[in-house]
Amino acid sequence: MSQHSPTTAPPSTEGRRLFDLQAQYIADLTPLPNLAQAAVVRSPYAHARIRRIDTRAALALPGVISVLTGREVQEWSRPFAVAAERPGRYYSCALDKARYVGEPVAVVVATNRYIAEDARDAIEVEYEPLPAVVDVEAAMQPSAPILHEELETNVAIDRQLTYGDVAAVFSAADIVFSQRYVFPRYQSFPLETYGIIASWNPSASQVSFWANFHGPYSMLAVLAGALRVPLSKLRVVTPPDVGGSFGNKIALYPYMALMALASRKAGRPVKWIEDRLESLSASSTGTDRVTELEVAARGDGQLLGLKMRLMDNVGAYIRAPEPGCLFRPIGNFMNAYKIEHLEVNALAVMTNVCPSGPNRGYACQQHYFPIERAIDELALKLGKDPATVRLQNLIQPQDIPYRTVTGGLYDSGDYPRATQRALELSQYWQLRQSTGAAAPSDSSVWRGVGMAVAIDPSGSNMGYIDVSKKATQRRPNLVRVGSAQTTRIYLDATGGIIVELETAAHGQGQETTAAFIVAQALGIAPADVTVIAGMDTGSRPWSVSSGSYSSRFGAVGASSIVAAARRLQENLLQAAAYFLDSDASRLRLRAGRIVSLDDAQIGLSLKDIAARLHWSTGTLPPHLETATQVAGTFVASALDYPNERDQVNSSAVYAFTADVAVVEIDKETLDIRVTTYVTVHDAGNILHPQIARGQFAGGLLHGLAGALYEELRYTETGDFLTGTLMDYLCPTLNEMPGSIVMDHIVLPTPQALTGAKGVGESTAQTAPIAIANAVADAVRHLGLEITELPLTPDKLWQQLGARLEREPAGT
Amino acid sequence: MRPQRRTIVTTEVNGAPVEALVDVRTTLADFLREEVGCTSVHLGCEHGVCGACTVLLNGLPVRSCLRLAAQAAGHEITTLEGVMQTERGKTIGQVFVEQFAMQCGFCTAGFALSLYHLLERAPEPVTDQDIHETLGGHICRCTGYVSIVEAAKRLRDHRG
Amino acid sequence: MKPAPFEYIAPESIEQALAALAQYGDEAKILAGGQSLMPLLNMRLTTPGVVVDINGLDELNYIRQQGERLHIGALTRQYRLERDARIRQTVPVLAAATRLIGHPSIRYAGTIGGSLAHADPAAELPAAMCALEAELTVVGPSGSRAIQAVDFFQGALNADVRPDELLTEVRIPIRKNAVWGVREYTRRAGDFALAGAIVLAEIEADRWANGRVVLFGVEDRPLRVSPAEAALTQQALSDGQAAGVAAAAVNGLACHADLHASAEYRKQLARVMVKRACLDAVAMRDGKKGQENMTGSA
Repeated sequence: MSQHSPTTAPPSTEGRRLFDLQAQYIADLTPLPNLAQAAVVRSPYAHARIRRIDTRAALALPGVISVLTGREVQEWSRPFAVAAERPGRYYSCALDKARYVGEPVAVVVATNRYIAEDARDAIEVEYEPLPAVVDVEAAMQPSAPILHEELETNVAIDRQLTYGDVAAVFSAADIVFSQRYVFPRYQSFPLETYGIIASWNPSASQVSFWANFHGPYSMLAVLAGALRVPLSKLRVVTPPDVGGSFGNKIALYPYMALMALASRKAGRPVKWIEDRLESLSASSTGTDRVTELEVAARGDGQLLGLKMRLMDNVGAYIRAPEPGCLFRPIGNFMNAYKIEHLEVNALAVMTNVCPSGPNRGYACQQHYFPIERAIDELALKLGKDPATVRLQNLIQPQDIPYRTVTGGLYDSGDYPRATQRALELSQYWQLRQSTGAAAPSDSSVWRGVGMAVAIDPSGSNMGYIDVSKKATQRRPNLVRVGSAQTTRIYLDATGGIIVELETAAHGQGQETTAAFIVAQALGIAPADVTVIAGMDTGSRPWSVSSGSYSSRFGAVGASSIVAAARRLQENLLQAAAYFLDSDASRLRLRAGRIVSLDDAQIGLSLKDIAARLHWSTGTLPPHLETATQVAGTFVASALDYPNERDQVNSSAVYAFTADVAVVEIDKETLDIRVTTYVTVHDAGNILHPQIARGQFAGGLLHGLAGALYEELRYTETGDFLTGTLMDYLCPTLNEMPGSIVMDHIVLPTPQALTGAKGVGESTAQTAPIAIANAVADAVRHLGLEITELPLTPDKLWQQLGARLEREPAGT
Repeated sequence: MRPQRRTIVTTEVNGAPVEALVDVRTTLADFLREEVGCTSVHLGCEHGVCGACTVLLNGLPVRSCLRLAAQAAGHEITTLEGVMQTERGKTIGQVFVEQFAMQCGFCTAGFALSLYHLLERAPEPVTDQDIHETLGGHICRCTGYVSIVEAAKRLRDHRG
Repeated sequence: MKPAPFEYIAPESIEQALAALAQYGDEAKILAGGQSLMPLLNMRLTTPGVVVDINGLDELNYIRQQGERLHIGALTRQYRLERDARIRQTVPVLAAATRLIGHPSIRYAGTIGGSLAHADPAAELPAAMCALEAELTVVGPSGSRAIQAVDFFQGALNADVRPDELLTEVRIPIRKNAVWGVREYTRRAGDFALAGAIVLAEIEADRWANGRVVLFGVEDRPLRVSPAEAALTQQALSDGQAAGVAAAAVNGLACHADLHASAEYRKQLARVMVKRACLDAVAMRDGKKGQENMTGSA
């Protein structure tokens, strides 16, 4: 695989559409006549029995069409399937009991949203409040309120995974220590909320959706199952423009079910645009996790083994793709370190808060935070620098391809080189001389520097989820493996190229990149390639692993574009050979022309070939009859099904990130500022430099949000505290680091036709950790331990306040 | 004078006269989207924090979710649809597209309108601080703001 | 997230506005710049029967100097406060405090009267009015009454305006040789302050006179703190004494707690904001900083 990192690339097709005023977001669409608008009645209680719902006053309002309640939902649908031993019954709407603030209780359909909300407020629901539990550890206690009585426990999953000989390395270790870490609950926060248009066809049991859904399309199988319709009777159209997701919209499907049923009840198509308050309280959030970590190491800093107890708070219902947060990173459980011994107790626990799901850096944020924090602690205990300990333990380039003890296949990379690059760019070693206790005492700030590295898994293997079950409980006749994508390309009668994606992008610039890839392959201008954006399951090929998620476009999606472009190239050569009466092996495609190697005068333009293929179909030999239409499918090759030892190669390819953060903490206000952030990537080949850079910068913002600003907070009894953007603090430009340095090295992966690895999640995984490590460095000499996020001035005050009052700041 | 539930709004949107009967509680944002067809106006939060619904009212950027359609009477309203009819608007679009100053695009019109106002009205020199203050009132989740600031500075440096 | 039904009236004069308030006062809400009311309407946290839109009252949109007082009409937009040349010359602290409100697009819409009548305890303008010893005019069915700013703010979201009354004007005394500092701490630029302070004094023969220290965002209303003012006034203030003024300002202070700041942390912020505002004033006296640079968060 040759190295590829273009220096020039085409401007944004998606942006052009926006400024041409041709953007189409779900809220802009009225694809059907007679669209009614929905509003959702939601539980104000964290846990309450629903005694009675009186809809009479609502139905009496002019303009109100119907009200759907749990009764019909129970009658017309089934609980959503999920890979959990004790799943609970999860419907799109509460039936007899509400289990979190914001859970749907009924849906009003009216002629417009204003009236629908009037009716929503006119519905009387009689609740009987029940004791609630929101803390993951409290919910595991025998005395805890039980959310799903039939399960007699709140623990949905309890898996013990063992790799290597953990007992042996722990007993042989020079140093063993343990720590408890808390990763917070925060949200993807796409600027565009959920949006759905659902139309239930009563006589054919067919349902059509327009929705900002972007996959994985396996969720549609879950949706069809819940709605009791064949998958083929379910059509989902995703508009060309989707206003961001970062994982959030993967959990759209329960609302798609709810709106389908609301349409069924109303007898007409229904449109629902979630508002921001609904989005914060009841769409989907990142999983919050408590980790108990034990580390075993040699006295020289060599890591030997880890024991991890992962306690995931999955919210009121465990909802697919959960328990992905426990199992998505299996192959890369050890991050970039050569550790051969690991014990994991993976727990998914249900509590009275909003169900969890993917959030940019799904599972890796949660998983790496304790490990990367603990490495800093280990270094400190041994009197070494955290960077030194990391470099000492990183998997070396000569070990790659490297098979991890958990089954991952690290395909390519030079982790020490990328790490050294980050250290150099940040002037890490110089900074170390002036941070923490070494900082000048007359400074008004405490200064700290911290780093983090991360294996960035890209292109999830569907099979990983079956590790949620013991090997003996897996279905022997359904081996779920793989990650696949198909792209179709058409050559039109004038030589124009049409590319049809099935990825359903939401801000990743896939149209721009796809056109660039095809144009490069055919030697034509990107402007001559038309990419059909959005998605329609009714007219385009798709598989259950299709979609835009798990940073899979660069390795999987784009490889299918390459595959299709190669097919078309081959067809063009065959066609030219036929038309020129030549041998295809003596022809080459150059700059949009097929030329003969033997005689430069002999050749055919793309336009000529296209015209002949379209206008002369009656004369074509059979092998050229469909030459203008190709489909390229890419299937990630190294994926496998979990074996009896719970090993699995959980992702198609593995990128790498190494970051350094520098922070300053005001000694008086305890304000935390990231002054410099350096992020270095090995994402393999770069398909489009500006798009890749935009992903790194966006990932940084995302991680910074989780590190310092955003947290979805509840009271102990489950009341929701962060329901508006005055309480839930999304960082603006002014909270970004003063200096941002982004760089990359290029080590192409042999696992993808593009040689590209993921860029989408990247820095979102490392930023929370690098920032936490930097803050820890700044305040360690004051006796502070950093074991949870987000880091806020108020939290620092809880630990430092008494001291500051005793010794006023500046001294 | 009697309070009304409905009112006829007579206003000017993007240079064209508009007259419509509205429920008085209709927000300006909903009015522009649903009645006038300005779908560039995006609802991100409906409580005045995110800036996605920013429009120009008599040339000044305001949140259209924090305003009633009924209040539009007698004012001039400009959305991205209107700004794109101007040379400056086209330049902003071109630079944003070249700089990839958007990803999902949902917040972009708000940024573009605030920036348009800054470039149109601010006295020289437009400082980095002016740019930060102007763009700081908008939330973007995709870009990390890096490319937006780059686009803004490019536009500032070639302000004509 | 759409407002509940209401009726709407847009009076064109103060008389018409008062008539509407007289008739619907208890169930009416006055809509000025809308930057506080509209979110509450959209979230249905308030559901008035009638919205009285006073944006048509052009007669309330003015900034005038009359003798040694500046008169500002209640409907004056906040962005004018930060830019108006007379304000910047005569009461620059008001321009500085205004710049800390939200974001530009909030200040283009928001009005001075709207912010004052809303009486958010963390808002900048109520604190500025207290520091500037402004006098406010409220008109009602039985005529107008003048209220001192410190008396106007009676609690969180509770100002001394009855449902049938309208805040029409603020009058700010102009004082010579003023030095000042305004500081607030927010998590994000543009947020409501977790704590803020305005320090204002006049220089008379190298001594500080008429010192005023106002805290905001810490209790249920802006707070003039007399012990700190006394400490400020008696001094020929230097850097070292700012801490003493700050300590006096927060002594015995019972701050409220919320999601982003515990009471104790908020008290610390209040102390630091007073200290920094004092230091700004000292720097201004010493000519080390121009007034242009005198606004600041944290």
